[in-house]
Amino acid sequence: MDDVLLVEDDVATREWLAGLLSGDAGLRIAKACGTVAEALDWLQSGGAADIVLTDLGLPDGSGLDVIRAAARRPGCDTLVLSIFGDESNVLAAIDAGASGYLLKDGSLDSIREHLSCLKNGGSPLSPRIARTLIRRTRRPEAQVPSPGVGALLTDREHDVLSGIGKGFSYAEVAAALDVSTNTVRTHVRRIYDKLSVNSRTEALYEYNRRMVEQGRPPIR
Amino acid sequence: MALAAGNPRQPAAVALGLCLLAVLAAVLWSRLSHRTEVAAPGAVRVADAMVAEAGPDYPAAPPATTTTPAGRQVALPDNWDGTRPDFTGHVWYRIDLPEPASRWARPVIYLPAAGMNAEVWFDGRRIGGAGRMWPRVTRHFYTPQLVDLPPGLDGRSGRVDSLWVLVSGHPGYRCGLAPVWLGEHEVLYGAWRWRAFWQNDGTGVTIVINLAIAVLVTLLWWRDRSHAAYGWFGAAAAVWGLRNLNYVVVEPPIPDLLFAELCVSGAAWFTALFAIFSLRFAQAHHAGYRGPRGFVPAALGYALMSTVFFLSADSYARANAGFAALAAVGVGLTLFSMWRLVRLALVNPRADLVAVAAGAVVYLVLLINDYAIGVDHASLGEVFIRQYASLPLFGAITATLVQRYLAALRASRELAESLRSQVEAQRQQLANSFERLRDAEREQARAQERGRLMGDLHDGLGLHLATALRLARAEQASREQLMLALQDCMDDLRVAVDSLDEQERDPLALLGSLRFRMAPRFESAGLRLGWQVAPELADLPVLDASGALDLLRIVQEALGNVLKHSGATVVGMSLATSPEGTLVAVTDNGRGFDPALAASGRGMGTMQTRALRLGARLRWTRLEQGMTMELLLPGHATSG
Repeated sequence: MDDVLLVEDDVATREWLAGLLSGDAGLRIAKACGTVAEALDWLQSGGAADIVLTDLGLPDGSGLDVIRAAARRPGCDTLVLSIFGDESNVLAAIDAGASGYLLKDGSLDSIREHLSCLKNGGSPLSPRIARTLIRRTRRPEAQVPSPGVGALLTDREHDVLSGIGKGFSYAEVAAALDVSTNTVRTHVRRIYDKLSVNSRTEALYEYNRRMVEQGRPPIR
Repeated sequence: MALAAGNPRQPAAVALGLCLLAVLAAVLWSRLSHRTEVAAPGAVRVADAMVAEAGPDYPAAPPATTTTPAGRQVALPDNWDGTRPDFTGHVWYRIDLPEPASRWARPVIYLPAAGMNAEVWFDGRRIGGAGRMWPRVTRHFYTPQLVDLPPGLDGRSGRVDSLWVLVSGHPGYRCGLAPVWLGEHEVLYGAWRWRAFWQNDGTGVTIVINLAIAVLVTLLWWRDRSHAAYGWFGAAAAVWGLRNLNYVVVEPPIPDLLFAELCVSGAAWFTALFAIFSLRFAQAHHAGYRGPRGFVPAALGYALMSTVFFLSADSYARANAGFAALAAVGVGLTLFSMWRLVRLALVNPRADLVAVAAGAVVYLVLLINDYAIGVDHASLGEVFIRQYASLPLFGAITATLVQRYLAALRASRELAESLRSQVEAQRQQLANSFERLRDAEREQARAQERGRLMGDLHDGLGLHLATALRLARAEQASREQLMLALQDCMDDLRVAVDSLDEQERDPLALLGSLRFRMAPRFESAGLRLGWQVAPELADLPVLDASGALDLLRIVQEALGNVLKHSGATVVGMSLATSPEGTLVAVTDNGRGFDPALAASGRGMGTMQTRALRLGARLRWTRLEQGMTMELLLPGHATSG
């Protein structure tokens, strides 16, 4: 039984999702709320969730704060609630530590698929997110010499991203690469992790560079 | 204002008057002081001598003392033009040595002026002199000499009580002997040195300066002919500098007579050129002044006549006969010149013009002084100072030229500066208008973008929403129909959002995303949406936002038609490149339709319009089973 934290300010959507998820075997709504403050309070006061679903545009702030707070907890997966899976928001969420997104208008099937993906992989990558990720890993190495950017993705992971970027499904990518769909999911999951870890590494690297410039000690 | 303007001529006139007084006093002092050239005791001025003429040949020895009574006692200076006008050859002058001379530690004889050349003989032997005494006699008429005598005046047979000065000369050139000085070396050395400096070294310096001024002024005039006066002045300064070689060249490279005549006619040329300069200078600075008509040819005629006269003379004497008259004309011309310059300073009392006038006053007085010396056949040994007088005059004139150029330079700098700031202002203005233009263009682009999006939302989303609303109102509408209508709304919106991403505007990215969006819908309807991308793609065209939306809408519409009307079980999208362009195809295995009817359907008409906007070719082909729609986009960057 996985505990779910649901953060969504639109009451109808929240209730619909809560109903949908609690009806699904293996999930329990541990907390459903509509503001960043409520969610953070709940997390800080010992609330434990295995899955966090959060909207980004909340009345008192950005859902990214909720994602960051949740990402620090081991074993906690975070999904962004999105209407379109609009990539700029989803990418920001991935940077903050999210493992994917959930479409608010999704059918029960697609939501189930997303959630099941979450357990053994990330949520489906849209082609546009995949292409953006490929562009990121192609940045000139000299520009940001942070460790691992150049060799961020393995060749196989790059092939997976490239296939998804062209609009192929996991199954089609798996067939093209002659692996199982689950293997593709695992790659995707790893890509999510690497990217969110990497974005944090870059942030740390950038922070330390500024500290050294100002003559202050860097943190490790 | 009246006070400040006051009468600015008055200070100018006072300054010029003071200048005149000063130079008159200096001339007077110089005329009086040469008699007392040596003021200190221990020197004796000898102003009379026993004279013996020795004829044209260089004599082997002075006349014997016994023949002395044959000579005549004369007073010095002995100017031959006055005392022996037709004599050419040598003359002995016996100078008696006064009693104290034998007690001088280092007795010397100092000859301030002796021409053309002179030697000192003592005890029957030549003991000093300069240059040659036989033809061609060197031109040492302007070279003072200082000759040592034996201490104690000891000769071969005891003390000697007189010495001989041998002078070589010819008529018409102020030859003869000026009073001589006897005395201690240390007393007379200073006087000799002083005279030698001013007559020889200093004159050489003035020649160099005059020629330098001439070259400078002439070069400037040559490059900028806007002020003709300076051309005349440059020529005058050059003639003047060359003409003064007369005083320092003792052995000219041309015959002596010719050299002397060139020097004399050079003075006439200088006078004429300078007079023309004065005229032009006055015309340039004195508005309305025109000057005498025919002045320039008259002045040049005078110079030419002088040259012809002097060069045609076959002897110094004949040349000298016309000197006084021609020089008088020259003095007249110079009077005119100087009056013009003084008048100019009074009319236009600018500092530089007053300085020129002051130089002119000084020059005029000294010229008249020199003229008086030149025509005086009784005197000898005066210093000519006109060459020095030219320095302040020429300097002042050159200063006006320099000032003119500095002013021009300043003006051109200011002009350049103002041009620069004007250019900068215009550049700024241009940049501003470019900025405004860019803003306007951006605004227009935004407006177009808004218009396009609004139009698209109106035709697509609006229509689907209206349909959904109608279905929701209609009681017999099924939930299924309503859901499909709303799904259309959602798809339209997603496609519109996809077309806005600037980095996602090539057909592969656009169609990849579209496929991802549409696939679930096809799957839930039991259809498989295939997707084929050619393994080798040439560079794909990058569309603008509007083109991206058109492409997406065409393919979306085609897919929607297949979904709703074809009854197909398989539908495929494909992307490939060919030499003609980028080929996008949608193929299904459904019922198909007559391509000729394609244009009649409303949706297909819109698709054709969009294809037209893209510059693409859109066509339907009926297959054995099903249809294929092909869209050929132009303009991919082919490799061949």
